[in-house]
This record gives sequence, C-alpha cells and structure tokens, in this order.
Amino acid sequence: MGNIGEIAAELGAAATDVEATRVVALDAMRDGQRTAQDVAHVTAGTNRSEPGAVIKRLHAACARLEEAVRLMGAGTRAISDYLAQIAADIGVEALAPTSEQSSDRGFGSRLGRFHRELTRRSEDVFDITGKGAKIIDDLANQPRPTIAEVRVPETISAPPPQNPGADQVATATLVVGILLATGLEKTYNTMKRIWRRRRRDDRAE
Amino acid sequence: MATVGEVRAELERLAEHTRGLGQTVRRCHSDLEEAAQRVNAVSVGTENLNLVEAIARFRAADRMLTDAADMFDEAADELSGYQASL
Repeated sequence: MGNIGEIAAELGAAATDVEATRVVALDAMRDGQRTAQDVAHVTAGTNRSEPGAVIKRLHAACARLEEAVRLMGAGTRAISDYLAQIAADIGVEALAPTSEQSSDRGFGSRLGRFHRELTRRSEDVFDITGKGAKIIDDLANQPRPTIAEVRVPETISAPPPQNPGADQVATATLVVGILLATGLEKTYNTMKRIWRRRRRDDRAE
Repeated sequence: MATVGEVRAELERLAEHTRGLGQTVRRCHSDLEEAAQRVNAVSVGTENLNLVEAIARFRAADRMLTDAADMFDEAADELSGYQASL
C-alpha cells in the first residue's frame, strides 16, 4: 500500500463491500425469522418434539446473524472514524458528510456542495481510482434511497436494525476516502510548487 | 386441514429454503473474510487503533456468520428428517 490516498480508497472500498454483505446478512436474518414462523404454522398441532427443536435452532441462527450485522456496522464505523481523523488532520473534514448527517434532509445539498468544492480543488489532480468523479456525480445527482428502499421487502414487519445508518456510513466512508486522496494530492502539489519557488529564489540570490 | 402429503411437501420446501439460507450466509462469510483481509493489509502500514478495532469486529462477525450457517444447515437436516418420518 502506497500513499494515504491509496489507503483511504482501499478502506472505502472494503467498507462498502462489508456494507453490502451486512445488507445480505440482514435479509437472511429476516428470511430465517419468517421460515421459523412458517415451520411453526405447518407443524401446528403436532405433539412431536422435532418442529420445536428446528424452530429453536432457526431462532438461534437469526440471533447470530443479528449479532454479525451489529458487528459489521461497528467495524465500518471504526473505519469511518479513522478516515475522519485523517480528514481533520488535513483540514477538509468540514466538507465531508458524516454518518450522522447522512440521515438528515440536507444530506443531498451538503453532498452537492462537497462535490463542487471537490471539483474546484481537483482541477489539476488526477483521480486516484479513475472512477471517483463518476461516483461523486452519482451520489450528488441521484436521490438518496431510504433505508426502506434499500433493504426492507414489503412483506417484512420485523423491527428496524440496531444500526440503521451503517449503509450511509459506508457511503460517507467512500466519499471521505476520495476526498482525502484529492486533498492530499492537492497539498502535495502545493508544497512541491513552494519548494520549487524557494529553490529558484535561492539560486537567484 | 392439510393432508399429510401437503405437509410433507411444505416441509421439504422449507428444508430446501433453509439450506439456501445456509449457503447465502456462507457467501457472506467469504465476502466478509476477504474484506477483513483487505483492511488488515492496510492496517499493517498504519497501525491505527480504529483499524485494529474494525478488523476485530469483522472477525467476530465472521465467527457469528459461520455459526449461523451451520445452524441453518442443521435445521434443514432436521426438517428433512422430520418430513421423512411422517
């Protein structure tokens, strides 16, 4: 792993993958709960012990999945915190949408401002992933899906997950990663110009 | 009132569905393991506590996913066994 920009991009990508996995696990958990209900319905009235054991095992599996979902969310938040630290170090944290803000109504406009500022700062900076600009465009121009649109089928009436903002955390993580990369490139280029100017000045003296 | 044949058919369908859940959760396990390895590769260079925490969480989640997948498989086998005994 090379510079901090590459690290940030890699972490953003990994967090996004974990978030996708978390959504699948959450769906599987709800599916398991429905399956347990179906087993109870189909075997209602029997005096055999097997159905009860199956239902108990399905619920235990769902409890494990629930814990896994919670842990994955906590992990992506830890990554987001790390990226936020770097953003604070280089003074660009004010622009990056946070996980808390991702649930606000102003998230879209905040992301839009971030996008414009990113574009302005990136005039002479290459895009580290080659896809960063497109990702930012997509995020800024498309309506942000609600949690219900993302992962709650209509047939499900289960309670909401313990960490409903984690998918937005992953998005914010990715955005912060791209911002870090461009911000650091900009800083590096600025420092390079200053050093060159100083060298020219020294020679002139 | 459902016939025994209908109950058996429904139990077999539920057993297959439960096996599918086990496979889905195993894929989650593989995907999470891969992501955790990527974060781990980055953390070696940074030695940041947040990344160490993230890796620990992912690994704990991975163990939970493995347990859940095993339980779904066992539940599927038990359902098939019960269905066959009817």
